[in-house]
Amino acid sequence: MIEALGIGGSRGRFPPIKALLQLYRLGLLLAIAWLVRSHQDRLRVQGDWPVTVAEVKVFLKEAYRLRVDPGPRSGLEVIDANGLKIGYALRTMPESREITGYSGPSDVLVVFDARDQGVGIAIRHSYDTPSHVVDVRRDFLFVEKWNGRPWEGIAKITDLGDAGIYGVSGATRTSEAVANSITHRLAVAEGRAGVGRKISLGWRDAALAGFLGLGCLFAFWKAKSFQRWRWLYSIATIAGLGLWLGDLIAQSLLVGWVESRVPWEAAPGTVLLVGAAFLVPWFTGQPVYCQFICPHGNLQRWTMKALPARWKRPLPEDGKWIARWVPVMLLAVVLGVSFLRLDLDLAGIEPFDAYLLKGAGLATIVVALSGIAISLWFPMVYCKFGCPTGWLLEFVRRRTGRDRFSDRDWMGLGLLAIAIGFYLAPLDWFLG
Amino acid sequence: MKATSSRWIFRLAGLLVVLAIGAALLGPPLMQKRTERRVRTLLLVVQEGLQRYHVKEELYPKRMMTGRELIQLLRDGGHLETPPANPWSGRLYADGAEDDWLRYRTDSLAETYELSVLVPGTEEVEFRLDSTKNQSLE
Repeated sequence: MIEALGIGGSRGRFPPIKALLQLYRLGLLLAIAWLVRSHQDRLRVQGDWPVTVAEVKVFLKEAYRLRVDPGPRSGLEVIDANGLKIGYALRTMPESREITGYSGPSDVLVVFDARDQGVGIAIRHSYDTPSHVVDVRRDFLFVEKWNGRPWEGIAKITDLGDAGIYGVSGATRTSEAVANSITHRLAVAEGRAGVGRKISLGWRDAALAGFLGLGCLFAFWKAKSFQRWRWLYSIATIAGLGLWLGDLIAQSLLVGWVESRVPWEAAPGTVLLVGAAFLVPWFTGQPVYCQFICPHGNLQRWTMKALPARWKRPLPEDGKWIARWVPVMLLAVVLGVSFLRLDLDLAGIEPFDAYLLKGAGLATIVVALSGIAISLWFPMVYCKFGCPTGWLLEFVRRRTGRDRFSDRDWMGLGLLAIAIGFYLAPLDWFLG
Repeated sequence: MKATSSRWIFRLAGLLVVLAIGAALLGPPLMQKRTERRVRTLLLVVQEGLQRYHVKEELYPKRMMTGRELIQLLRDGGHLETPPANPWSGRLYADGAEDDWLRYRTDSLAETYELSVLVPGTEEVEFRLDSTKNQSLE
């Protein structure tokens, strides 16, 4: 199989299996996206103080592992050694951070059995007065009041007294805050479950679909009478898609979507553009976004014409070999920023935000201007050797003619290995 | 043969430069995040000590203090068992002249507290944990 894929040392000796390679490339990007998403779900649900199996075992003895539930409840499914779901656990923070006792809020663990009946609560950490927190912890009457109550029943509690839940003597405010944190957290989860999403189409989406449609036409309809207008379309992408709409595909956008979700109902035009940018080259081999639609690519094409051809310099082979690592390095940085939630604006590693003019940061402007300046002498140098987004789009593009497992595929595998490393390693390894 | 090996040395040197650029991009925010986590831990420990102080004295400490002074006070009163680590130096809080950007404040009646962490070298507040508005780090 490996030889058939062309992975072995004898390059090209065996016929490449193009379909498998194409599946590998798309699958690899999807696998990285899944790892990023799953990690973000874990961080979102678990926060800075992850719930451990040991904490849950106190209430569900059979607990073996916890599985993050990215759904509206945003908690943890409790799984036993046989892989069966035996309960559900959640923490009240950060949703209940505004509910304070004497001097601060408390993070409470709430555990349910498989039928969504409460089996126990525990104060995990508290900003409240320590002695009051101890009082609440020791008051079994208060702590066990939650046992046997159904999830929906707790979520509906608006008056603790009516529900038979009374404050702990000497720590009334702390205990009431704990109780309110629990009811609030469950009610928030219930509320989230009821939120529906409706698609909203606007002029912006129509404009993006128009740019995409025209880009595809220029990519596939090679009639001379039509192609002679490409210069006009090129200027329109710079002015319209870039400076006016500012809807360029960038790492900051892709990472945001992968980390949270694709906003198909709020920005259907952008979703369509991004989807097409990946899938059209994957199916057809035509790099429609990079070669026709991308405003920065089109701007570089215009700058190519600014200097006479004799001033242009081809990049030496060794220079090309080194430069090919630049977008891969930037993608590795993107993974690091996402997995470790580092405070580095990803817009700054690409030139695309510079088209927003007003809101553009210094880094993105420097990247944009220097890329354009260098492309005066080395045509399209940013697109070829600097653009991490372009690298991803090129990675999935179907190659014409023979195909084999190339350096680019190895680099992709390296990125997957980095993502797996970040996913599996405890955050403390990196963050101390 | 010699040309090939010098070519690969050139390529590997170039690759090292690319990796160095990546490290330069990731390094500062990574260090910042590490310090941020240590600051959070420090704030939680000091806040708990302050709450113990309040239970015993029925008031918070009455004057403005630096982190070092506050931690010494809490230790002297038995409200902190061990001195927490200084997030900026990595060592335990001690009497030395090391970086200390933790500040403590209270109101005129010493009924509330405010712990703030300044951006090193400035008066800009980076983190705030208090008994009125910012009661948690989440």
